[in-house]
Amino acid sequence: MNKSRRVLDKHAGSLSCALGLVVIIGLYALRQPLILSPFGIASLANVSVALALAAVGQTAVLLVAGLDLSIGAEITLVNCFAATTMSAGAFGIAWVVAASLLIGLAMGFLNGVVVAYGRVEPLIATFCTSFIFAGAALIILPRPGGSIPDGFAGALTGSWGPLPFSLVLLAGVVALVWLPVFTSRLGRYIVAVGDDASSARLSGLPLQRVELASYMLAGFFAAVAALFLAAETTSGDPSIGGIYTLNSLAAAVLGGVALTGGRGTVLGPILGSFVLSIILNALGVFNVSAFWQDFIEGLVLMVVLGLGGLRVLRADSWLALLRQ
Amino acid sequence: MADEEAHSATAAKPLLAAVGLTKRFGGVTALRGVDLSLFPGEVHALLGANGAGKSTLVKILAGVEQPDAGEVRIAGGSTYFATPHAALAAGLATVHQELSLFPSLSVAENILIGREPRRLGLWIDRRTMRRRGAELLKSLGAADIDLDTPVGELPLAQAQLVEIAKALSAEPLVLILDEPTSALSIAEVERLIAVTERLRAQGRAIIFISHRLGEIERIADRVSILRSGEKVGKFEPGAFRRDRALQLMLGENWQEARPPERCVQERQAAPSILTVENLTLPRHFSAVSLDLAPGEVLGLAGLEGQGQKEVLFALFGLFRRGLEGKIEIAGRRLHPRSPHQAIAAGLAFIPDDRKSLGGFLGLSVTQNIVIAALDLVRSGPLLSPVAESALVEELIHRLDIRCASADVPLGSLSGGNQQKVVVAKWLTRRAPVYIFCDPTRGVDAGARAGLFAVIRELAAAGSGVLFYSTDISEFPALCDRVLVFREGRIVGTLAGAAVTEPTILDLFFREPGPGAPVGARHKKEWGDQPGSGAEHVEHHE
Repeated sequence: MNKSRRVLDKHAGSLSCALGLVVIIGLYALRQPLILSPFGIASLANVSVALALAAVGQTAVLLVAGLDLSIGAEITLVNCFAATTMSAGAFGIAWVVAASLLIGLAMGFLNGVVVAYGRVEPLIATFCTSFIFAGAALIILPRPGGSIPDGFAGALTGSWGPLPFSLVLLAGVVALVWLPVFTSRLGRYIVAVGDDASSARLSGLPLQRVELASYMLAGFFAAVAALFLAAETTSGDPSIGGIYTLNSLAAAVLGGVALTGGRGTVLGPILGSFVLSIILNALGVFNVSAFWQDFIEGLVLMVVLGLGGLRVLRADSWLALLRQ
Repeated sequence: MADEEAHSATAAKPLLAAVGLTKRFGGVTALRGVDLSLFPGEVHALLGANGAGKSTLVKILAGVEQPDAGEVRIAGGSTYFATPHAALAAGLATVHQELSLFPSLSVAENILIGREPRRLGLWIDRRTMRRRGAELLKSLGAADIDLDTPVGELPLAQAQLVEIAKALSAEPLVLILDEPTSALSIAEVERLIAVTERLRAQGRAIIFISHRLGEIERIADRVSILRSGEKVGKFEPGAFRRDRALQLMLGENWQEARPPERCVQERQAAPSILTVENLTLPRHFSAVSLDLAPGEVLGLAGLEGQGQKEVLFALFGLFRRGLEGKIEIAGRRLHPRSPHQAIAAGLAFIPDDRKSLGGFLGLSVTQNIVIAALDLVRSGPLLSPVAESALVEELIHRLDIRCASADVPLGSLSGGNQQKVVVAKWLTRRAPVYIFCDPTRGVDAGARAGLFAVIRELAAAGSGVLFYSTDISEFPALCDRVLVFREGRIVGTLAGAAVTEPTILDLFFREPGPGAPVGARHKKEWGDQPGSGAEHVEHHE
C-alpha cells in the first residue's frame, strides 16, 4: 500500500463524515434556510457538542479495546450534581466545576479499576457501574429540577458573532486535554495496548495503568459534557444522559474508530458526532412523529455499528474471527 | 556450575546466571533445575527438540513466566523477573519467536515503543524517533524498510528485522534471540551475524536459539543442549560436534528402531482418497503436494512451526482466502472456504486445542458426541434419548473413554479422555479422511496409546489419515509414510521402515541452507496467524 493510500485509509472515517456533514447541512438548509444564520449554526453546534465530548471519551476507551457503557450514566450523575449544588457567583461556579470534573475522573477510576485490575469484561463492568451512577443521580435529584446560574449558562451557550461558545469549549477541551494526551507517550500506549495486548505486555508497557487511564479520560469528558448540558438546559435531569451511551459508540464508529481497538483519529469521532446529532435533530424538525424517531434512530445506530463489522469480514482465517 | 568452573580461570564474572530454574505447568515439568551462565562477549546457543524447554527458559529470562524454583542472578543481585518490564529494565531484551509487534503502528513507532524520545518530557519527538529507527534498521542492512509503514503490512521477514531492531533499541546487556532467522534470507542472516559480532565486541552477551545447525556452528561460542526440560550437555568454544549434538537432543531415542511388530502397509493400488497439488498459502506454506491412499496414515513431520499445521488448517477450510492449488477428495474438487464445506466433502478434524476448537466443555459427554450426528438419533422431528445413548454407549466402550457417566460435562474429564470424546464425535459417521492435528498435546502416555490404536483402526477400516504432532517420536510409532516440512515446504519423504526419529531430523537439518521466506509479499496481522499466536503456550509436553 502506498503512502497516500495509507493516509486516505486512516482518515477515511473523518473524510466521509466531513462529506456527510456538508450534504446533511445542505439538505437541511434547503428545507430550513435559517439554519445557516448565526442562530441556526449555534443551535446545531449546541445539539452536537455534548455528544462530541461523550464520543471523544468513548474513543479513549475504544482505542484500548475496551468499552464504556456507563458514559450516559456518568453524564447524568454529574449533571444532577451540578444542577443541585451550583450557585451564582464566581466561587459558587468554580468549585462545582472542579468537583464535577473530579467526580468524572473518580467514576472513570472505578470503571478502570474493575476492568484493568478486577479483570471483569468491560461490557459487564461498565453496565453494572452505569446502574450505580444512575442510581446515585436519582438519589440526588429524583425528578427534573435544580437550577444553573445564568452566568454559567450564558458562558457556555452564547455566541460570538457566528462562532458559538459551545464550539470554543469543545475545541478548547480537545486542544488542551485530548490532543496532548493523544500525542504523548500515554496516547501511544493506549493505541498500542488496543492494537495487541500481548505484544504490549512483552514490550514492557504498563498495561493496567494504561487501561485505567483510558477509562478516567472517558469519565473526564463525560463530566465536561454533563456541565455543558446543565448550562444548555439550565437545570438537571436524572434521565438526561441515557441516549449518550449508544450514541457515543455510534459516533465513534462512524468517525472511523475500530471497535476492536488500536485504530482511530482525534477528528473522526467529533465529526461523526456532528453528523449523527444533526440527523437525529432533523427528524424532529422535519415533523417525523416522535414514535418513528426512536425506530429510525435505532435503525441508524444499527447501520453505523454494523460498519464496524465490515473490518472483521476482511479477516483471512476463521480462527481469527473466532478469537474476536 | 560446570559453566562457572570452566571460566574460573579467566576470572570473568557472568553477566547473567540462571541457577536451578524449575517450571511446572500443571502436572508437566517443563524445566527441571536448569543452570545457565552467560559471560560478557559470548554467544551462547540453546539447542533442543520441541518440548525440550528452550522456550520456557527464554520466557523465564524475559519475565514472561516466573519459575517455580531457582533464580536469575544479574549484576550481583539474585532475583527472577516478575514482568517483561522488569527484565527489560535489568538489561535483557528478547526477540520473540511469535514477534511482539503492533500491526497498526508504524515501523518507527514499533521499534521505539516504550522508549520514545520526548520533547520536554511530554510529547513524542517524531523526528528523533524516525532518525533512531532509521539508524537501527541501517545497522541491520534493512534501510529499505519504510519507517511509516504499519508493521501489519510488512512481509514476515521484514517484520522479523523490525522485531530485532526493537530489541536492539533497548541497548541490552543481554540479547535473547529466539529463532530470529526463521524467515530471513541468507543475506539478512549475514547482517544479523555481523550485528552479533559487534555486540560481542562491546562485551554484551547473546542467547541464540536456532534450528539451523550451520548458523550455530558459525556464531556460537558455547552450546547448551536441552532435552525434556533438563540440560543434558554442553559444548565449550570450538568443541561443537553435530552428530554428538543430535544424539544429546534425542537421548535414548537415538538409533531406536521402528517397532518391529507393526506391519507396514503397502501403499494400495486403489486410487488416492485425497490428492493435493501445489497447495500454497502465502506466508505459511508453498507448493505442497501429497497423495493419501485409503488405509494409509501419512505424517506431516518436521520441527514445530514449519507450516504443517497450517496445511491441515487450510484443508479443513479455516483460511478464508489466499489459498492456491488443487485439492481433490475421492476425485471431487474441493475449494475449502469454511469447515462446513470441508466436513461436507468428507473431512473430519481432530484439533490440538480441545477447549476452543473441538469440544463444548460445559455440555455433557453425550451432547458432545452426538453434536455432528443429530440426524442419526432422531425419532421424527425430536431427538431420541434412547438412540442417543445407544450410540454414545457404543463409542464410549469402543474408545475406552473413562467417565463417571455420559451425562457429566466434558470439562470434568481428563485431557486424554476429552480428546477421545472429540474423536468419538467424528466416529459417529465414517469420514473418508481424518485429520489429526497434534491430538496428543497434553495427553498422558496411556491415553496416547489408546488414541493411536483408534487411529490405526480407522486406517484399517479404509479411511485415510493425515497426522501431525509436535512430538517427533510419534511419527515412527504411527505413520506409514511421512513428509518432512521445513519453512513451509516439503523437503523429503520417508516411508515404511525408513521412518525413524533420526532420519526425520536428518532430513530436516540437512543443509541447503535457509530457504527463501515463503510468500513474502502477503500482508497479514500477526494476531490472525493461527499456530503462532502468543496464546499458544508451547513446549510444555
